[in-house]
Amino acid sequence: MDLQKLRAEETDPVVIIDENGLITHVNNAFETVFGWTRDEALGEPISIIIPGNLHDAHHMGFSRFLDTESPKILGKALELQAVNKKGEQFPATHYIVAEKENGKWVIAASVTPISK
Amino acid sequence: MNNCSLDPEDLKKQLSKFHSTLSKMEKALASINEGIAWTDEEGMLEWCNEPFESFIGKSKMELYGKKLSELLPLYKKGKQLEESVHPTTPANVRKNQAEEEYEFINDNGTVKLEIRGSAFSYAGEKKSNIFIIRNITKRELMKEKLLQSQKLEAIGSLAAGIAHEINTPVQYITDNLNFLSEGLKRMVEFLDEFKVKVKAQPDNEALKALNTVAQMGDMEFLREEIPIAIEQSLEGAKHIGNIVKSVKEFSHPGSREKSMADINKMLENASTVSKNEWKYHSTIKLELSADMPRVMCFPAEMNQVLLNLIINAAHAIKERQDKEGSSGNGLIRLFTKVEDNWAVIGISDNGTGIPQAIQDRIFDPFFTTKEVGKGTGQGLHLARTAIVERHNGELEFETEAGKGTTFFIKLPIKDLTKTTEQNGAPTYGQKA
Repeated sequence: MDLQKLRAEETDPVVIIDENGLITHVNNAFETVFGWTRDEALGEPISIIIPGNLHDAHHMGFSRFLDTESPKILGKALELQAVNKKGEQFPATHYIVAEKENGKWVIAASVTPISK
Repeated sequence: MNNCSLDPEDLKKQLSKFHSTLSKMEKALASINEGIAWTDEEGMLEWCNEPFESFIGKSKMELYGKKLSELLPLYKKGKQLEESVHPTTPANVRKNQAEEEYEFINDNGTVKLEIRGSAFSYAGEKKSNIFIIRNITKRELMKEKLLQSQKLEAIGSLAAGIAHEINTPVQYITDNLNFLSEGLKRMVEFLDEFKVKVKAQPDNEALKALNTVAQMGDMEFLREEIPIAIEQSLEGAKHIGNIVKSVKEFSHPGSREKSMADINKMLENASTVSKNEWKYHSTIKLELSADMPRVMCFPAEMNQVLLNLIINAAHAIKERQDKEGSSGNGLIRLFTKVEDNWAVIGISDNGTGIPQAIQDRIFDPFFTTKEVGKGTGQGLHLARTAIVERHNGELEFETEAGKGTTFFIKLPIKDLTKTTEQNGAPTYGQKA
């Protein structure tokens, strides 16, 4: 899975952010699963889909990645809690990739709810 | 952001600064070589540094959002702590727990932890707790070892004191026994003479009566047995005297100066003092060269080295015997010889031998294969330091698995540390 494939993904929810951590792209499945419309989501920080008690971990990990450019969690499936617009938490499989475009990081993730 | 009055470019610059500050903080916390973790008001892990992560043995992503008290199961005296008394449970954070010591089990076995926690508020009223988790296993081990070596030192001086105290009574017991022995000889002469007289004058009523008394008192038996009893007592007293002398010579603190020492005598003393360590499974064979010159050394240190090596030899033999189920076939050879300009002391055993894998580590401080409480891992390290650094000597060994080990101590006969004087003064150890 790479950035190109994630951009074209339609079934699983996909969100793409820039290197400031701001959302630059979501697909239709994302709108359905997370309850945010595309217009609402674009420009918002990615932390809107991360539960509050994972914010510290996200901010520090993300900042470290930008600084060191050595990914620790990329390229493998991770099971993590996600949160929708209503504030409902649910477990989801995260698959995150990062690639540089025009010298800037672009980070894309598919976030698929785990149905139980 | 929709309602933001900031220029988007400015916002990006601000965010970039925010990220670099956070990254700096993240790295700073990771660089502290202690586990650091913080939790939310419910005790759920919100962040931890890398030392903590590797300490738990799981990646951060698996840990976040879980209860710290569950991620870090702690034990005290083998019993797992309930959540209600766990030091990372928010209600317990304000209690002073710095002095407490916890056990934690990870891939490296049981480690000892010290956990300090403190609570802080942020964003108005939310409460967080931050914890520093320190692995104090090594520190505690060092403490224990120090304590043990202090104990040994105390036992050493105690032994010297006791030896001194025993010496005086042993001396007068010996003197009295000698006196009794001499006195008895004369009494025996008297008795023998008496018997001759009785035989010569069978009709003498007075002698007859006395003879009856003598028979009733079993004089014949006493005449035979008392000298033997005294002889044995004298032997015992002599033996005590020898042990006391060895202990005294052995544990004598010794001067801070080197002195000329009789290596053969030192080996004899060390084998006497350590007898309890080997007598149940081994014999000691002394092969001491009669032409050993006296050697300049720090006698107390040399004594300690010899004792350590003999005890190691005894332990190696015991270990082999336990493994094989054999007994009594242990042999420790102590030998001395002169080789070129070296006085060579050998301590040879027919014990387990030293496995190849650990041969280059046996002189490391705190390295031990003995069970807890039996060895401090200091013996060979101290021996090496004493021989090589303090005596300009060499400490070598030859070993074969299952066959045994021989340690060779080589001491310079001509003491090099004294030859640096410029005034042409005679050097120690040279024949004038």
